[in-house]
Amino acid sequence: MVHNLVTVIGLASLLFGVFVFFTAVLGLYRFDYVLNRMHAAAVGDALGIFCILIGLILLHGWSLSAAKTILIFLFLWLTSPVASHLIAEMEVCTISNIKKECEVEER
Amino acid sequence: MFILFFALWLLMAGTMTVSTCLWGAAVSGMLCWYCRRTLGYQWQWRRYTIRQLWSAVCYLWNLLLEMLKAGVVVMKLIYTRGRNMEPKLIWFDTTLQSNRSRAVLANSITLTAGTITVEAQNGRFCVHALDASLAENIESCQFQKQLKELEA
Amino acid sequence: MEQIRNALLTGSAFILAALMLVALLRAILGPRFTDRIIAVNVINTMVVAELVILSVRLREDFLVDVALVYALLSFLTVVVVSRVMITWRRRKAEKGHGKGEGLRGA
Repeated sequence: MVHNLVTVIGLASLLFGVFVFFTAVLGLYRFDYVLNRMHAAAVGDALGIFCILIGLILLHGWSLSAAKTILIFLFLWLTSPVASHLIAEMEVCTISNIKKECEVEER
Repeated sequence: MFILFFALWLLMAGTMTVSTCLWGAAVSGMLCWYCRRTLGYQWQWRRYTIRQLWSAVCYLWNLLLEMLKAGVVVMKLIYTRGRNMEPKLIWFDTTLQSNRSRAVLANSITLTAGTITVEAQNGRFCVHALDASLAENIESCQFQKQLKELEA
Repeated sequence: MEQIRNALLTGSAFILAALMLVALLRAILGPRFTDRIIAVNVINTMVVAELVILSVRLREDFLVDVALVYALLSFLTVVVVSRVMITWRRRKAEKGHGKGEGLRGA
C-alpha cells in the first residue's frame, strides 16, 4: 500500500515535470525577445528538472543511483544560474540598442 | 576540500573496499594540491555558530519555496500574457559587504525564475525582470535580509 | 501498477524527445545567436532528464553516470562560448572607440 502510494506520487511529480518542460518550450515560442525567452528556459532549468528528478527518485527507491541523481540536480542548480547569467551578459553586451527592447530603470 | 573530493569519489565508486579508499585518498589529495597551487583556492575554515548554521538552513528552505512560487507565476504568465509583457532592466545597489554573500545573492536572484542578474560588479547589480510586477521590491527582498543576518 | 508505471515512463520519454525536436526547431529559426544558445541549453537540460528517465525505465544504473558527465559538459560548453564571445566583443569595442558598446553607453 505504501509502495503504491509512493509510486503514484512519483508518477504525478514526473508528469508535472514533463508539463513544466512543455511550458518552457511553449514559452520559447510565445515570447518575442531573447531576454524574455531566457526566463522561460530558466523555469525549465529550475522547476522542471527538480520535479522530474524527485519523481524518479521516488520511483526508483533509495539506492546509489538515487544519490547520484541528487548530485546531478545539485550540480544543475549550482550551474544553471551561472550559465544564464553569462548568456544575459553576452546579450546585453552585443545588442546595439537595449532601450528599444525594454525600459531601463536606475535606482 | 579533501573531504569533499573523497566523498565524491566514494559516491562515484559505489563500493567500500580498501583499494578504492586508498586510490580515492591519493586522487583527492592530488586534486586538492592542484586546486591550491594552480587554481588558487583558499579554503580556510571559518568558525560557524549554531545560529548561523540554522539561518543558512532557513535561507535554503526559503530559496526553495521562492523558486517553486516564482516558477508557478512565470508559467501562468506564459499561458495568459504571451507577447505583451513589460520587461525591465533595473540597476540597484546592495548593502551586502562580502564577496561571498554577493555571489550567493546573485545566484539566488537568477535561480528564481522571472529575474536574471545581468551584471554584478562592486555591489551594483543589474537585474532583468520579466514583468514589472516581479521587479517591484527586488532590492528589499527576503534574501538580502537573511544574507545580512548570515553575514554578521 | 507495474504496467501503468512502465507505460507512463515510456510516454514521458517520448514526450520529452518530441519537445527536444521542437526546441531544436527554435534553435534553427532563432533570429539572434543568443536564441540558439538558449535553445541548446534547454535541450541539454531535457537530455539530462531523459537519460535519468531511461535509466529508471531500462533499469540500467550506468546511464545516471552518463547524465552526470553530460550535465558537466553542457555547462562547460555554454560557459566557454559566452566567455569567448564577451571577451571578443569587448576587445572589438575597445578598438572601435566605444562603438557598439551596449551597456556602458546606455
